Amino acid sequence: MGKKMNSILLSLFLVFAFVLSGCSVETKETKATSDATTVNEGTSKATATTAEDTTAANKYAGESLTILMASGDGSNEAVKAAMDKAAEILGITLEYSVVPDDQFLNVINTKGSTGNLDDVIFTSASLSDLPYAEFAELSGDWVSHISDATKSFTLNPDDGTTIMAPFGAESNFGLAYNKAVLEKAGVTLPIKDYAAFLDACKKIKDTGVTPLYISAQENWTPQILLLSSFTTTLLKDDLVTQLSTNKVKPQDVQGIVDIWNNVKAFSTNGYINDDFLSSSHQMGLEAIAKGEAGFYAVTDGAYGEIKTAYGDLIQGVGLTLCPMWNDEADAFVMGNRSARMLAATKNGSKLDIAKAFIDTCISQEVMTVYYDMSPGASPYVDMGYDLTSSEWNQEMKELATQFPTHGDWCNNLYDGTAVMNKFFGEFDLRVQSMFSGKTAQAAVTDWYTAYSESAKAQRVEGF
Amino acid sequence: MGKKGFYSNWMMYPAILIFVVFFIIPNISGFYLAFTDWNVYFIDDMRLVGFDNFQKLFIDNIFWISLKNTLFFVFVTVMAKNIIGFIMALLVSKASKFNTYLRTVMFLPVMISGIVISIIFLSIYNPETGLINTFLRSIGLGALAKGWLIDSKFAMSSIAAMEIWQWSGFNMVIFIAGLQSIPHNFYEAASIDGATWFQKIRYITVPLMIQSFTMTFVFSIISGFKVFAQVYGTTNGGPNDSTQVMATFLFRSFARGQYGYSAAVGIVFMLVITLFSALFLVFLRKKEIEY
Repeated sequence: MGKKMNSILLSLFLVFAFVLSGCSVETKETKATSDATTVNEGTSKATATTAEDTTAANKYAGESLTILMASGDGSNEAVKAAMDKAAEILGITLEYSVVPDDQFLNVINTKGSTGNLDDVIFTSASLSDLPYAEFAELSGDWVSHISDATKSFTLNPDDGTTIMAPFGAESNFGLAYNKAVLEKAGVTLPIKDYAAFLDACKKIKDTGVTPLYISAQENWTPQILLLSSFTTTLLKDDLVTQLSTNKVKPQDVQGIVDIWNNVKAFSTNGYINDDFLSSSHQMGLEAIAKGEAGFYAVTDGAYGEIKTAYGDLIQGVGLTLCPMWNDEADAFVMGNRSARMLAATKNGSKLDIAKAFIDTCISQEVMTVYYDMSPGASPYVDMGYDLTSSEWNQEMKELATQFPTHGDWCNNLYDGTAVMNKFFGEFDLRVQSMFSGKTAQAAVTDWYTAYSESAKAQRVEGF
Repeated sequence: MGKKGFYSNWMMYPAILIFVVFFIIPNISGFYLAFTDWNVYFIDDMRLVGFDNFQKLFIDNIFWISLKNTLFFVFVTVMAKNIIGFIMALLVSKASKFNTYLRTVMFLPVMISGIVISIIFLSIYNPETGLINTFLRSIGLGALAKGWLIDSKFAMSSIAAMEIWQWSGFNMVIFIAGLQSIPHNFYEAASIDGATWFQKIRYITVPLMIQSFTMTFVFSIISGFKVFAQVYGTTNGGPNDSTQVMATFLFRSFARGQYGYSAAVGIVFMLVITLFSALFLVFLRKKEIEY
């Protein structure tokens, strides 16, 4: 009997110990470690800087917030510095829950559906199908100052309330160019079409410099060539409506295949770096900063990266159009609404603190920290103060007086809605695959296959 | 039977519970999910779609590429790991301090995580600054310098080389145990009969080590089919999906939020692995010799 009782108790103890080990004691720890890598544990506590800040800091001192973000944002120094500044002002600590970029959508939707969403979400508004129903309505003073270009992307698509606070700059994509290289080659700007661009590349190559730098090791950089040039192609012949309702396939549209072919041609025409398959974005920045390349397709965030890494060499680099179009009439300046957004979880236990944190992030003090490190065009107007914008943004503004401005093809507003947002179809990988040997026709077909699968999963009509 | 049987049964139940919760139930759920359209966009609303996921899978070109790559990887790594492991075991099976040191060195790569190996080899395989191409250029063989991971002709073989380098030591350890279990009198008798070294290996060592070969082959086959970290950490299935394997293909489907489709992929891959493992097991078991 004694042994029998011992064995029962031992078995029950084993089961109990197992169950206990699977439960978390601290909810914060579970949120911080499941499915994600915790990158940073908060910052120092409050040293309030103003009387109002002192009040907020006293109110929330000792509290903490968890912030969910993708690894691309988690590695951005300007973002981290700004977040930490806001935390310092409020006297709170932050726990970052960073997930790989390609898993962010999965993680945020899964957390949203199970009620485990972090207190604050830092996301790219270019992602479609975020769990908008989980985001709280925001009502800070800044709401009425959001620019028209960015406004629609901050709204809940179901009820039109403001659920996201733009944080990063409204961006320009284009070709970074080295001023000295172009001057030596006798190339003048703006270059208005693809034929003129090839001519410019030839002139640059004759001086012994790589005309166009490609960093195809990364999957997000080659696509900038098309992100900043593809929109006007789609604006023709009601293509957007036809593509988004599956009435036409992109591989059957000659204009689409042609512009992809123009990009593909760089892998074989001798105007790019020999090591394009193994080159990284950092190598591209170095090449353009030091005059080892004439052009390099970038986002305007590269201004801050070059400035940080190469100091005064940034003065010798500008930003211009990316003319992959054959017809000069298709020329445009790519000006995008702000992509980086902050949101608060509606059913979070710390909703008040999360909202206060977001309001603090959109304050002059915190925004100045961010824009001093990563200059750009603010998504807010008439805030009563100026933020550092870069010479690149100024250049693109001047070009915008000559050419129309559109967003990138995926996030551009077509008749007021970003209808192509659901059809990204791993566009970055499709463009990268052309540099790995695929024909433009095959790459466009793969793009259609990928976006139609996604559209079918989203139960989009016509797919 | 009485008290002793009762005691052992009770101790078994916690393990059974864990096995049921973490293996049986998920697998049964996976079977069900494979017939639904469950995805990230409608996470609370899944619908049964019959065999749609399997149909989509079998017409997907990338699925066949991943299956072909996986079978290539399994064949190359199983053969190479076992041959190299066996040769290493023959070389270091005799007891000595030097051999003990060699065994340790050869086994060390097994202790390193697959992702870490991938990062190390990413550097070694770098076409511009990597160890291999730099060495080839330094000895005048620059023409042989390749894009080991970026050229689709060499990428899969390069990844297989990583696996062989890492796991040959594991097989070596198993073979050493097998070698040491063979009675010496067989070799003595063979020597008296005038057998050469090679004849001893062929007619004594290999037949009496079939059980060891069975173990290493099955382990190698299963780990070959499960390859993921090496591919994900180096090429992530590229360039142009030329190095996609079953595990990265499944992971990609999951990362796209297509959970039902991923479950179908997992079911098919499980069946493939089970079939191949069973075939090899039956074949090798027939060759085992009792002595």
